[in-house]
Amino acid sequence: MIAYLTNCNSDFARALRERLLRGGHEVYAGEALSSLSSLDLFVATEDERLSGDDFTVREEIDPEIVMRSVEENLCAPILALEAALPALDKGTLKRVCFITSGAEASVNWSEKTSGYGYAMAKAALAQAARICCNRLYPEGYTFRMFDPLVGRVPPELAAAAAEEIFLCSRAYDPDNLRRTDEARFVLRDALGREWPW
Amino acid sequence: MKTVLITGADRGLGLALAREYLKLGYTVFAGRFLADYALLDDLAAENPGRLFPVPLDVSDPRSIDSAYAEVSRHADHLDVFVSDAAYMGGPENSRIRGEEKIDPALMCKSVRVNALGPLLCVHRFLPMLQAGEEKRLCFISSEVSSVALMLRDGDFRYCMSKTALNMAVRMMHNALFPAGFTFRLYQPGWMRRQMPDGSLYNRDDRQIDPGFSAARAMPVFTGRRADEGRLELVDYLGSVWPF
Repeated sequence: MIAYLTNCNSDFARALRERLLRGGHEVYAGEALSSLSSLDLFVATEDERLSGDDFTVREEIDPEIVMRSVEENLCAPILALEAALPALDKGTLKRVCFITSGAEASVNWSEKTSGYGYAMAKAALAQAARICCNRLYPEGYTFRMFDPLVGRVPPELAAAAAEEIFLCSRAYDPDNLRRTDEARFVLRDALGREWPW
Repeated sequence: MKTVLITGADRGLGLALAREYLKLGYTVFAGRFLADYALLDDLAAENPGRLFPVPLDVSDPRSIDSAYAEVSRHADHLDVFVSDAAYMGGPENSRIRGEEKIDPALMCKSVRVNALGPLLCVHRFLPMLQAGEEKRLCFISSEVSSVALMLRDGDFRYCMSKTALNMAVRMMHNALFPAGFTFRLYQPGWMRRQMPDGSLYNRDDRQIDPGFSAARAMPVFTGRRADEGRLELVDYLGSVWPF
């Protein structure tokens, strides 16, 4: 299987890369997508909590920090997916994975009062990914939204959970879409929990 | 004196909400952005001393500062803030497998206007809102902000920016509800576009009039709930949408 990680900037991404390599997979990270003839697993590993993105609504807001977070956590993953499509089209698994955070990006569950740039970008990423999923799922693509629980679960354990979630297929019944769990767009974390949007 | 600031009040829902608040006796500060719309001037002439058009580009912190200075000249508090200003954008450059490449600058513009703008406005006007009696913050969101119920397969830019708005509102709610503020997220429905002459452009028979949506919004915006601690997205028919 050929896997592509958009970058290995985080401990989690590095651990995932190591784990996939140990599993005998061909893994590329951050390299030019145009050089890949085919691709099975695409993982957008962007998960950037920027310095300075820590104000509350009562404090001075830096709009440019928010927009930088949007560029890095929202635009970059979606543009990378667009660039990866020609190679993914030729692969067999057609699995698309994004990294996010339940505690910070779930509108239902967030208890945060700061970190607007990260939270807004990741919430928007969920919706953009959902719409991409709606477009690509009928072509055989499947999507994963994953929270590595940064700071709470060791990167190696998070990578093990990610490998399981990224590579295993969920229930799939091509004759009865209502029984197909893959059609459901969900966010799971490194402890296997499903987060509401 | 009860006061309200409405962003994006040049036309459509924002203008209709200004009319509704005037009916209730509020002094209205109406955010103006569109140079080719003069409908606010007519409404101001009909309501001297009660409706003040205020130049306001919610994506520009300097414009927000200027608007704050202008509103402060006429009032020492704001009871209600209504965030209506939005950038719809076209469907081009915002779909996977689209004819054109996705444009990150346009993605950023949608988030800057539709999600960051309301946050910047609340931050800037917080001292006046803190001094107000009602402490009610209302945000126009959209059905397309719901990740749970999203069925579209293209044109994600506007949709994702409204999801980002919901997130910003959640975080403001986390910070400000304990301080006495209450919040409304409103899904206004698919509305006819109001043209510069005041007429409504009917693109589809399923579209509703902005005035109808505004009238349906008012009980939501002005009412009190027993469960104010719960942030919910309510539509113009009273239905609650999942996030």
